[in-house]
Amino acid sequence: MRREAVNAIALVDFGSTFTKLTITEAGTGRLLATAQAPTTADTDVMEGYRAALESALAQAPGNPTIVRRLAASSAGGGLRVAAIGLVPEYTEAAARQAALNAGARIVLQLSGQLDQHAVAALEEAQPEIVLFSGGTDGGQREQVLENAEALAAAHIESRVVVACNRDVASAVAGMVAPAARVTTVANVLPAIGRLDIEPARAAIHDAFIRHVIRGKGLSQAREFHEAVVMPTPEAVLRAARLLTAGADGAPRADVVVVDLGGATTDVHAAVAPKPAPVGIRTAGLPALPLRRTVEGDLGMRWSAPGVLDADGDWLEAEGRAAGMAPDALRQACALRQRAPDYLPENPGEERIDRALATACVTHALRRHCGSLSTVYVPGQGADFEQRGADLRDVPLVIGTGGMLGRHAAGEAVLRAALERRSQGSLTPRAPALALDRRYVLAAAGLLSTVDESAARALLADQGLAVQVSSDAPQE
Amino acid sequence: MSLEAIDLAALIPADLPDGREAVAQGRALGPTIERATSLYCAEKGVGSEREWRETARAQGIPCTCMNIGLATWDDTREAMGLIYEDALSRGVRPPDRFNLLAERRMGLPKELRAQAPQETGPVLWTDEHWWEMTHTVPIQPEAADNMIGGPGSVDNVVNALQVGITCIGVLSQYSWRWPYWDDETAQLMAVLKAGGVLASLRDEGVVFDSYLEDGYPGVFHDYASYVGWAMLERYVAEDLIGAAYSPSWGGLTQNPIIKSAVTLALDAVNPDRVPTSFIQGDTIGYTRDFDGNMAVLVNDLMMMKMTDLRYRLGGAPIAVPVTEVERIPTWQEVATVQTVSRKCEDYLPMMEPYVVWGKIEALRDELVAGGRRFFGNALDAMGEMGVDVADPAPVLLLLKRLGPETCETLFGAGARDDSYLRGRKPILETDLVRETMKQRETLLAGLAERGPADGLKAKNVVVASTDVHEFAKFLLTSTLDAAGSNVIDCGINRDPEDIVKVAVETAADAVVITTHNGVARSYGTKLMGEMRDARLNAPVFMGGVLNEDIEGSDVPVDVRHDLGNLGIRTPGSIDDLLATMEAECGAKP
Repeated sequence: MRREAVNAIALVDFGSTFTKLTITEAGTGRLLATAQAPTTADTDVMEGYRAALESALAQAPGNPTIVRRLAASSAGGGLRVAAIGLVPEYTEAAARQAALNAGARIVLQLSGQLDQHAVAALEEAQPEIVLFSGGTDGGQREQVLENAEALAAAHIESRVVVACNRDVASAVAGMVAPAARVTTVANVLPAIGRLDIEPARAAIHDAFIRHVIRGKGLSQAREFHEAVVMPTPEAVLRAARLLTAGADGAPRADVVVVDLGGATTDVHAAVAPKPAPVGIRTAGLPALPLRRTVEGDLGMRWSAPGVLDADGDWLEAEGRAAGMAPDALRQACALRQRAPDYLPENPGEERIDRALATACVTHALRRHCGSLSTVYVPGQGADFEQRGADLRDVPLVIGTGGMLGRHAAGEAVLRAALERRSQGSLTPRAPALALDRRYVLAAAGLLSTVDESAARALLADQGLAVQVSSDAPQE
Repeated sequence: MSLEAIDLAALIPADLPDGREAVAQGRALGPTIERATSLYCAEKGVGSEREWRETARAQGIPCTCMNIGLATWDDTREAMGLIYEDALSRGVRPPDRFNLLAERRMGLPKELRAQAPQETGPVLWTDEHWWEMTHTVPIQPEAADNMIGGPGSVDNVVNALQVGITCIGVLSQYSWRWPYWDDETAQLMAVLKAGGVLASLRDEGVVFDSYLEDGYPGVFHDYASYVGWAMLERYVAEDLIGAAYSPSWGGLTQNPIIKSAVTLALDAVNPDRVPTSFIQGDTIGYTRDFDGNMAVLVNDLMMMKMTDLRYRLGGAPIAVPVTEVERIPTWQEVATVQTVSRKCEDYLPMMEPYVVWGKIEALRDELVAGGRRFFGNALDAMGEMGVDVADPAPVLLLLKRLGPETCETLFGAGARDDSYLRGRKPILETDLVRETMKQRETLLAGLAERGPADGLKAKNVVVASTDVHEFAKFLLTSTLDAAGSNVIDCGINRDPEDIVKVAVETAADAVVITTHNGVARSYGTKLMGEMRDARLNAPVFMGGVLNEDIEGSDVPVDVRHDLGNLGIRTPGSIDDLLATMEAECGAKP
């Protein structure tokens, strides 16, 4: 019997440790196979890719022909960005958010007057891209130009994206680096209360594809450079956005994705814009429809000690329940930091891993979501201040990465973390939960660049879709 | 937005006693009070003022009320007698009732009154003073200002009932603070116990009065919120405490038609139809042209009396002396407007049938619907916050602590509209808002007349309020915007650090602060320090109430001189501010 040939798309995620491959049928998004192999950054990452491909093709039904290859990469340290602004809560935060939404790893944040220490920090961090912001349009000039002067003095080879007060943007661009390394875009914070991060995000993305990924020396193969279209975190964020829109592109429902890793815990949220609440004063930057945050101190292995710092009391209580004294718990975290490939060897250690995962997700969600503070001033009345986004009514939370993907306890971890809501926290209240068990989120994000409906079908087939009830409350 | 994330513990102390127990104590105390009959009730042959009002409204007999409170009780008592005699000598019926405008010390427990500083108005120091309230002339008193609301509520209620007063207020004053008293919980419990006393005598015609404008409605933007607030007070007074509740109101409304509609709306949400104790006369329409004020007086009275007669409300409108805008009226001035009030009654049958009541009723119905939404929103929100809405203590304390602005913003009935100060389009704007808009128009007209303010054009001006007051900030931002400045509105309740952060990013050409919460000096000091640290040298302007409690002073002292020393300009008006700013900012390129 002659089998019909299947045209397939290879969707690759070059991670720092593993290269993950998803093969889908072209045109439909049907999942044909997934496989992974160690990332071979020391030689050529395409070697790892080929190993994964071989494994995937062996499992795939039919005899698929790879007609297209799309890749995301976080290998070689990811996309390393320094975000510079004037005031931490305003332009620095705006620049940071633009970089994170571009899938970057923030290696340095600077604000205020850049002095010699700031310059030294830049030289030590050697970011691949510097995102330079400061001042609203028509606002601060002098201090922005002073900072540009300081940046120009730094011995770094970074590409620079200038997204500051438009009145001085071209002057800044002329100062900070040779023209070939500078891109000038619209201000990330054109006015207080107005964010415009998309041009800066797009410029970072562009610099990554055109320059940064090449500079990492991960592969000599032309097919690698042709395939890589974005950093991995951007692919996950694209998938989150895909989930929130219907086939016609109209917003359907909000979604939060928690990506639990060994070094960081990332949260991606795609939410429809809501009017600011009446009676609640909002502070800080306005909410964004698409937002990614990264918690560098919350991770299952390299960052395990950081998790203990963030949630010590709760973890110690969990440790005691598992028969582990606080000292032993600290040692367990240190062990995980020293040996990132550590796997629990007994039920007690497994319980510690679950507790660490719960703590990571709890705090990553709390930091990502907004909070509502209540202050009573005698003679004046109550003051309610909301900082950040209100995600309490988000209907779906998806777990991905590590324990939230393939582990049997993934859903229980996610549920436990969501139940640990703190007073004033605006984390999701009663969402449906789903796990990215076959690691298709990043793949779907990649696939969406060429075929959105196939990408949507891939997600739906894996149970990663928002169920919208017809009587869902409308804001 | 759902309010379950609000930290209730920040607003209601964990050890707040159960308000129901305080009410029960009051209920037990009430029947033990030996009560006399006032001259007025004896003359009418009734057991309570309420009983007469119900009779009067059934028979179409108009009632009147007056406010009185001279420097001492002796002066006040003497004036009462003279006003009574004056009415008889003119051949008109004397006033039916009076509100005693007692001094604030009456709100304190008896033993503390002598220690507190003297203010304006009479104090009833002795039992004889109390007795004279009801037994000088047959005019029925209400124990009004500073009687219920403060920590001395129970003392006052007992005294008032003993001498034959059957209408006691003012519930809305529970949100006030009394001098030398900071125990908010004890104050609240005193109010609830006093309410319990009134509840025990509800069947005997005793009424728990409120005057809405003495509480939060006085600064509401929407008359529907007035109605909703009255429903909240009624819920507490009647459903939770068990007393008969009367929401008096009226002083801050000039338009007689609107006043009529609101009065009818308040009647519509008064299921037991407790007669309204009084309708306050217009106190904002008067100018220093006393003769001209007569027009305000008569229009106000005529419309209120026609409304009262047609709908048999049983209320008692107050005629406000035309001189009140300038001074505490003499007894003759009170007597004069009381005569006018009675003379107006002759014209009611001639005019009332020809008023187009349908339009007023339509307005009433909108206000009632809005009021019900406000009330429902408030109860829902309290439920979301976890408040025990069956206990009057947390309900009253939460409302008090939310403050008027937040209450109206959170519970308001109007549709969401961010172009309005409180984020909602009022069902019917209050005269307070109308007045503000009028001020704004005046300011803008002045700007237009003076011509282009070149020195202010395209300047970045950061504006903020140190407290919750939004009117002054609204006037500032409107005017500066019209002058061509690029206004960066930092909002209300802003700390100096917040303002400086915005000023850094925007390179503010000027910073304008409005303050009304008695922190001008410390705020200014902190702001200037933060400005220096941020290497900003934009001029800073402050306006509003520029005072502060300074160590060693009994009352907040004017700190304009200190602000001047800090380098802060303190123009006396928005016009002055614009002129100063133009001179300073215009000089800079």
